Amino acid sequence: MSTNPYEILGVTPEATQDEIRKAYRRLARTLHPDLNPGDRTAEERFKQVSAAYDLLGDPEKRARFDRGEIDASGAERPQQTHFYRDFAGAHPYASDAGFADLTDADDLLAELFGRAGMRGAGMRMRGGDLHGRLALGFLEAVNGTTKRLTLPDGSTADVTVPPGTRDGQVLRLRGKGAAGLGGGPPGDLLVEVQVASHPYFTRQGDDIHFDLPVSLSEAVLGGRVEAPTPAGRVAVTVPKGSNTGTVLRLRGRGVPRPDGSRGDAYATLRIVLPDRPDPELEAFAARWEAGKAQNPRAGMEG
Amino acid sequence: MIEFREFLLRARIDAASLEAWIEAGWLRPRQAGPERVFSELDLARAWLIRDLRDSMGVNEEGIAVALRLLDQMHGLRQAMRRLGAALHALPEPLRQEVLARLRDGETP
Repeated sequence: MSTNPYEILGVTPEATQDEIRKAYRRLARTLHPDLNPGDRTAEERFKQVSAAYDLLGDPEKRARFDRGEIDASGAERPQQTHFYRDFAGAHPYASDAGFADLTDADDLLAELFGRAGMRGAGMRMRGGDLHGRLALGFLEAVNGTTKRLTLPDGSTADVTVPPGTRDGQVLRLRGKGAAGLGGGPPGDLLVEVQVASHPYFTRQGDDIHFDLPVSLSEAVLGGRVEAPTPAGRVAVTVPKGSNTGTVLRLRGRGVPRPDGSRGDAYATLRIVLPDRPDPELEAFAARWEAGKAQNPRAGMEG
Repeated sequence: MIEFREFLLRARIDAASLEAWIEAGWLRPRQAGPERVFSELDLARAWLIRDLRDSMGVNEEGIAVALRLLDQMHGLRQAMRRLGAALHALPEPLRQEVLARLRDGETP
């Protein structure tokens, strides 16, 4: 196959813009994949023809190509990824006007072509979508769960909530909507998810943030403490000399993603003094010169 | 589901065209509350309509005829697939008999 856009469109390099446009339209009418749903080669040829026209259909680009400033491949536009024909199976726009008469005459054909459902174009209609809401706990949404939902008609449906479901996300239950007309497929049930907040976890995208209280001695001396995460409790190493506001990243302990990986959890340390005043600590603070000299509010104005 | 504004952007068409196509019955969005929503299939169909109009220079009447024939062809392809699947599921001796008849060009 030639890569020369003039040859692909079947025009001479001297062709006028009008001739080029006409040549392209003629080829597009012949090669468009949706007009050739069964011909797999049509798509490739249509893409080549479209790319050639992208180049030559624009007088400015064509002039640059003629001068050798850009090559034939340099002008390819982002190609459409799928065509109408690629939606096989239940085609909502499909009509039986092309063969309804055949099924009238023949029981067997009528059965095979689905006589009950296909009676005149447009009569076979998909049922409407129904809408519902589902309230979920924070961890139920993060880790996934199964919930039983009562539908408007009184029946029940089990809704699988995938891990990582977000507040406001709409889950689609195929075929659980209103019944179709004339044998058409039923509609879908669209369930909007409402996720409750959590006492200490918050979520940002795939990451989980929370405050992790540590004692004064854990902060000053460092050590290993246990922290809760949506993925279970994990041992966290608190570095020596940690302060309130120090953020520790717990890699892979956040929200599950569809690919099986997880986001991260971020623990923000918060130093907590003993529940009761401690005489030893008071005595230490009273004689601790460096502590008295420190001004943690330096830089604060107003 | 694709909402109206997003559909315009992805289909690269203007709102007036889309309204006209819906009016003509070429596209059938579904009603979700007050919103009209579209499927990926609707989007591919919009690309096709746009290609017919812009790339192939087909006028409005021509598009209506083309879509009508295309919809019939898809109906036939669907029926063909069902027929093929049904034949495929037949017991082997029956399947062989059908194949033999098709080869002979015999009509019942």
